[in-house]
Amino acid sequence: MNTEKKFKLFACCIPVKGSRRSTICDVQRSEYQFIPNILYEILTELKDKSISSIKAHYNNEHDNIIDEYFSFLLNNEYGFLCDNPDSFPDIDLTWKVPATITNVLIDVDASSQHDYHSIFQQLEELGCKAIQLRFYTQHSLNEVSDILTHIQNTRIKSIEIVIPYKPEFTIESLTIFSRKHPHISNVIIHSSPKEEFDHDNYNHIFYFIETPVDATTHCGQISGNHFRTDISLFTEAQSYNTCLNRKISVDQKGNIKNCPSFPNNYGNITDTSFKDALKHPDFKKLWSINKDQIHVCKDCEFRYICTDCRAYVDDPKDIYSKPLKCGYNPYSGEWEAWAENPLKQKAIEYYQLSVPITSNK
Amino acid sequence: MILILSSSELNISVEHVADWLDFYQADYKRILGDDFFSGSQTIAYQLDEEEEYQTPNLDLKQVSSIWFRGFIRHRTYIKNTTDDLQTSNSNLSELSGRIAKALHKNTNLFFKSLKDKPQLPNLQALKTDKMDMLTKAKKVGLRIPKTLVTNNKQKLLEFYEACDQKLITKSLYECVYFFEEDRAFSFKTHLLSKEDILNFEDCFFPSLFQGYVEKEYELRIFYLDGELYSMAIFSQLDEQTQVDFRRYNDEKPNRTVPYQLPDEEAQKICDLMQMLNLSTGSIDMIKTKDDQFVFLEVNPNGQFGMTSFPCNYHLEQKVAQHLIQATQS
Ligand code: SF4
Repeated sequence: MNTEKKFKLFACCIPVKGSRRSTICDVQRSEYQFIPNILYEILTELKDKSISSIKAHYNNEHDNIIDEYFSFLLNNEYGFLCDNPDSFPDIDLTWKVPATITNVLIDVDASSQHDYHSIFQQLEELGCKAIQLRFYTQHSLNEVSDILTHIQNTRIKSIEIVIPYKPEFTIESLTIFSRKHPHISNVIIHSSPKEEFDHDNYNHIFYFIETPVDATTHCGQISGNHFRTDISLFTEAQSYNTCLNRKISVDQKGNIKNCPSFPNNYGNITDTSFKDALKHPDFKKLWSINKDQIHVCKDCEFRYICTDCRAYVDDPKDIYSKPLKCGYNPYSGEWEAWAENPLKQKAIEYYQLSVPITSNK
Repeated sequence: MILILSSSELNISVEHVADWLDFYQADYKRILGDDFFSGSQTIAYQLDEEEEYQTPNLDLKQVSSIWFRGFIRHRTYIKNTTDDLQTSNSNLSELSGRIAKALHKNTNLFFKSLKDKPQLPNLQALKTDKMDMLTKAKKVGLRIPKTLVTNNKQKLLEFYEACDQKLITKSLYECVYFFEEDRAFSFKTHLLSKEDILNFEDCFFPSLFQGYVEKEYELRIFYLDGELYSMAIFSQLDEQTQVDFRRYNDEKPNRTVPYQLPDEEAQKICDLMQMLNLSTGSIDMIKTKDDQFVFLEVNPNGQFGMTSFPCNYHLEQKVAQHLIQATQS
């Protein structure tokens, strides 16, 4: 290693400091790597110094460790040695999309009377490309098909379906169904007798899960499995809420909400257009609550790859408090089962959550 | 109205620019070269008419700017002609060559009818070939690789020595992909060994050869209207991609990061694009280990998504804004 050179992180490998440890978020290869906070300091505050001056900065007392750090970073292609780090500017982290609404969540049960044609027409005008349809009661594939015919000839690009199990749901029937509706990205069958995972040859993914899905138990879970290290989430997380930004939801009764789990609504689809609901001064308020403003999360090394939840939070009276269903403690660097945390019991009671026994680690 | 010309193949950049045009509520229409063969566009070219070229389902007067992203793949219409034709292979290839020529004449008529409208890139400038680009690049002061087009083994052997025994060959025309059901193949850049050359016939198909430029990293630069958006590609970390970064490694994709080109080189690129009369294009360059910048080629229709996405440049938005502005001026 030529220690007169400077070490430059590839711009897509972005260091994020946490209270106890830090991460390098590799938004190109969709991975993150833990690093000690001292290395974070080297990679940020001392980034313009050559390796030998970094060693001198620590009075040459830790040369071996510093060498180890840099060999690790070089071997794993997190960066390279150079003389001209200024030729490699950082990625501009501005998040932009050509859409007023980027994602929509539509809840359906046996009593729902949604006018799907009007819903999808309006979404098209708002530039929305991603749709999640969440069924709480049993519906046949034919019924779902009828709903999806209203999506044909729109520019909607991805549809996720969450639906309770019926014996007619087999990989074969789902494959035929998804070929009819090419925009389907995945189908999640909940309340299934067994857990299963499969996909067809056209990139449609089918999950069978045993846990039943309803808004209160299903939504807002935070775990390592939900982290997504990619540039669109990472940039969005800089300035916006990673769950609610540019989201619109319709609950079973047709009420327009930020998220079906919130009690308040902005009118009903029978008498209010999405455009009008969006005009309400409060509708977009939650969109810009980013992780840097949320207690605890702001000290967490996962904050730009993590999703969020504002519907269930540690302190229901403080909209800036941490997601209730997160068991991570950035001050200790440890995960625990959130539902067992004595400090969260009050909030669990407040939301009247029936906590599933597998309250995730 | 903005007119987007493209071929029927899926083109992600077109999709994304269209999303932005929708967002800005711009008026646009997309037509495919294939439309002229499928019957959805009618052509009427009559010399005694006042308006010479007519496309009855498309009012050319409404067109205020044009974005060109390709037009047609020959296989679309050649297939109909040759499918049930009983003839020798050599006749067949002569025939497809001729049909391709006739088609070009036809497309040119159409392009001519658009010649007074703002175009991105200029439709006439698209004809520039690799040798022409390299010559002009040299004129504006850019470094280029040692280059030879030949059909002769002896000449090639001499050139091989002159290039310190490191030689590549690549397509003189564009790179294209061919898809079969289970695989795809394409024209790529190949490193040639002396053995390869010794196995050649004395006289072979006239081909392009260049001295291999030892690189520290590659540069892909998107040019739009005087602005440069550069990206460095670290293909050297990986043996699989050392000669040509298009030989992707999916597991560990090459590092692709924003790059700041020195002002002097940036100016030369701008000069070159002006000389080529190109308002947009993707430029390939190499940064050598001894800090030289070597120009390889300009692709007026290069995919810019591969630069835009990793560097977060939002080029699709910039192209959309450019098209809208052209409409207003
Ligand atoms: S503390 Fe906040 S940012 Fe960290 S994992 Fe939990 S919810 Fe995500």
